Amino acid sequence: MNLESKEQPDAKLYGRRADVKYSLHLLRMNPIVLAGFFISIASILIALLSHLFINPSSWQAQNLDLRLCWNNPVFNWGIGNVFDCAGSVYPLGTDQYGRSLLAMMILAIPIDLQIALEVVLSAVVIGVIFGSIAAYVGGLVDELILRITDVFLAVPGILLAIVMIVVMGRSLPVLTLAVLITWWPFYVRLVRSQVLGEKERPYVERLHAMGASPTRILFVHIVPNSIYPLLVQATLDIGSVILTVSALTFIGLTPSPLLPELGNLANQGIQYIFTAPWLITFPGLTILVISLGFNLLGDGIRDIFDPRLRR
Amino acid sequence: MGIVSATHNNKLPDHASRMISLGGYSIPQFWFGAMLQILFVLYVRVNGSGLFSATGALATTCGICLPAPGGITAYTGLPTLDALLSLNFPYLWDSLVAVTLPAITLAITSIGALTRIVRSSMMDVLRQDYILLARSKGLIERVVVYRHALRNAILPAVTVSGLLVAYLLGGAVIVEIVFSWPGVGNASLAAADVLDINFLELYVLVTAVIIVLTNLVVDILYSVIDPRIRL
Repeated sequence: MNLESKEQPDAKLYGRRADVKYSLHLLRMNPIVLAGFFISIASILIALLSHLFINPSSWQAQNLDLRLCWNNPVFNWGIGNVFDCAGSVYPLGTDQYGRSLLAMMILAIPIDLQIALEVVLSAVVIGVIFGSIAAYVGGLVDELILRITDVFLAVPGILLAIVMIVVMGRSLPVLTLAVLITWWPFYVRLVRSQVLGEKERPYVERLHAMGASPTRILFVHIVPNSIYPLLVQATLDIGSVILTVSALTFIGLTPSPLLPELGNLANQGIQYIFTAPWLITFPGLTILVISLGFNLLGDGIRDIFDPRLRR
Repeated sequence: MGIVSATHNNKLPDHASRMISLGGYSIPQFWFGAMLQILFVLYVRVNGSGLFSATGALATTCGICLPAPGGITAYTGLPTLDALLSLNFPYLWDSLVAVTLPAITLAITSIGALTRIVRSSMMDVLRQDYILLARSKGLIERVVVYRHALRNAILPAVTVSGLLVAYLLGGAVIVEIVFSWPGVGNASLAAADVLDINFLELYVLVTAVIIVLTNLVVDILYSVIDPRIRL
């Protein structure tokens, strides 16, 4: 059978390329992971192309005659249309100012994704630098870095972020920074534990004997060898960061109430939860789908690269 | 759920519980709370009125805002406990109903996280030799799984539940906003709005102390669950 010819021994025979092929094969075999893959790709594509779909200068156009309107052909949702909504053509209804919800949601996706990517990438970089140094140097440096992460881990992340934003002012960079502050300690710890295991391997000793500098051994050899769990965690965390960011903007820590950001849209929508339920439903659903997509993908990558489950 | 998932690896129960846990892991708490409100207040109706009240505590009694029904003494200021202490069962029921939806909302993420942990550690443990031994001794599957495997697989879950306390304390802020619950999370956000730094400092300090204490309890629990671990 076709399936058997792609077993592990074959992959070993033909080296790295067959390995990649085998990984792709595993990916194809798992429909759930594949779904996650497509959701992530689609959300990134929407984010990149959002300004082609929606004219960024026109989404703010208010149509006060058609506020809180959704001409739903299937069922009448909410307590009932307060306003006369004849002629409303917006696909997912309008908010309290008569702006199109769909347009705002499409414009919101790049903002959320951008924050998530910034936070995760910075956390990975910080984690790799401090975590690997902590593990490789050890001793007092290790102790110092670990205690600093302890300080940040002892406070609930959301609370720390709230305090940060309140003290430093409400803007997107501060929002990013506030989430990053709560996120980096996990990566430092993850990288540290990986490097601790990796630096005891024989090849490190061999590199020492060859006279390679510690910096080179650490960043050219050890770090690339211990990066896989980090990649999995980073993929999973894109979803979590989107959740955290939208939670923060949902409780009102948004740069501007008019900003089309998914949590902020939900915050505006919850005021009309029983008259216009779509205003909270769809932004929340978008967050759920995007974060589910990245979580499925990360989960799948973990399964695929886990040597214990591969065979 | 984690146990079922591990014992039925790659079968339907496994897929179902994995989907539920992943969903719980990636659902926005505030949205889940809002959806529960829409569902139970707008659509599920008992005797013509909503089963739950939308605003949770406020609509029944919160001990502080409204006088409690019947003779009730505020021993602790905690509605559920007060009702129990003064044997006022309608009030106890009220306070339990009021707490149901927020509690479910707060729990959904932790359910996802715990299921994943229990599943993976359970699958590890079920591969061990002593499980094979237990099976070959002729023990029934239930004893093998719950007596032998679970006790060894539960350790990581205990660790994570200790860490989850931090997460829940943070998440409480959001849930309190969604359900307009007059709790400390709402109060801290109000304090943040007017830059009441003293209040925020105290709140952060208190939560940090709670988290440190929880971790201490978790460490002590280790030695209860696994006698090999000496403190």
